[in-house]
Amino acid sequence: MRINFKFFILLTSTFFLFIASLPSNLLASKTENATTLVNTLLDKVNNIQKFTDNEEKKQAEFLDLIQTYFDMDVIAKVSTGPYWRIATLNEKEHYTKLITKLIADVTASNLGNITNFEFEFEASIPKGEKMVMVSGNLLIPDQSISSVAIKWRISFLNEEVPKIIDIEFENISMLVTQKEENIAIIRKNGGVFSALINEMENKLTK
Amino acid sequence: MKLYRVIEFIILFFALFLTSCSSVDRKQVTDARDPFENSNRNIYAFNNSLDTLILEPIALGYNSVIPKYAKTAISNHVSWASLPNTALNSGLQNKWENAAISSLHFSINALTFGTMNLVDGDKPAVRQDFGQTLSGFGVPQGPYIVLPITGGKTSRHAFAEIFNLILNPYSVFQKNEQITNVFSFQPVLSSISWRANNFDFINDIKYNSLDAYVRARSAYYQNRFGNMQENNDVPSEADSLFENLNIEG
Repeated sequence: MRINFKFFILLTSTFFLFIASLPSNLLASKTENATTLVNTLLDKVNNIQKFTDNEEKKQAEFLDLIQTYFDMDVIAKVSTGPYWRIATLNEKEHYTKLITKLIADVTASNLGNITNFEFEFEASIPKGEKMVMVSGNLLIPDQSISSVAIKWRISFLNEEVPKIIDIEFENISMLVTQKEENIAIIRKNGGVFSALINEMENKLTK
Repeated sequence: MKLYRVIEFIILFFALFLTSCSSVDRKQVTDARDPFENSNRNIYAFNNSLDTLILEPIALGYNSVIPKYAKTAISNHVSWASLPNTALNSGLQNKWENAAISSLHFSINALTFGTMNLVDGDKPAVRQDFGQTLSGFGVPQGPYIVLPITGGKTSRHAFAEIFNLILNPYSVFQKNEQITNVFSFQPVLSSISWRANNFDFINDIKYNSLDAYVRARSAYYQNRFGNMQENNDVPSEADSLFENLNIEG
């Protein structure tokens, strides 16, 4: 009887210890997964920059990368603010495709011929239950600015497949900037969502 | 008349002229912080043309001709020249450690006229300006205004820039003509160095955005917010964006 009681105490404390350690383990794995995601993405970007000469092929590869690593549904929704609700289903789908293409093209054009950048990791911090912020510096040798502070917001809306929802360069969020631009265009055109789509199509055909 | 006096006069003239031309059409205002958007857009277009015609080609040449060590020296010098300003404003904001660090760095690096950072590796001074001091005193940031040449700022920041200009270390040597000439040239050098250092970023705003004016304004507000240490615990615009993110909607 006495042995059983000891065994019971041991079992219960082990169980509670396991439960107590569970959330921190989960958080730790989330922060690690988020960092891995960023590093994997940067490796792939570096490879595209190193081995792809053709500009159109480069844009296609970036498009593929963005569709895989970025949560374009969330980005599309957040970047249009309150106007997402007034958009029709067709407009939503069309806008999501356009914004994905625009990001891919701008990334390809901005990175130019930079091939040898590195990510200097600083921290990976949970922001609530479904988001992790990975911060560090992007080291780009032989450029006018050799180090740029960068933060990645990684969403865990789907626990199994973390995705990037925003990137900040020197405190400037790409998503906030895009949202303000989009809202300005829609407002200038009397709140018509399709005006934004037209503007983006014009930009992409230039 | 000295060069900087001419620049000051041009800025003031254009600001008064273009502000008087502004017609505030509420429908055209895209951000509540920017009630003078129409006139601001006109000045932005003027600044953009100046950039395309003058500053961008000079910055491109600067980046391709000037060797990296010389560019670093010029950047160091520009940062060094802002240290007295940082020291004073840190003091005004009760940030005594930062005031001491910036004073020390200014004194030591003065040996090389600020071109070399002799205290590299030491804790760097965090740049503070009079706009941040005014913010600490509770002065509201005021509307966003775009000034000719100097660009877009909150009106509090724009007003503070005058004070920042007066606190340039060269202004101490006003009687020495050679140093006064350097003082006159310094804003030009600083602008070229800044444009060259941010060459790709500025060009991305100019050529890749759907609305360059809005992107520049957004970048200014976010960067300014991030540079204010007292905002460390305040959620940024990006933080607020995701706070109530409804996944299903």
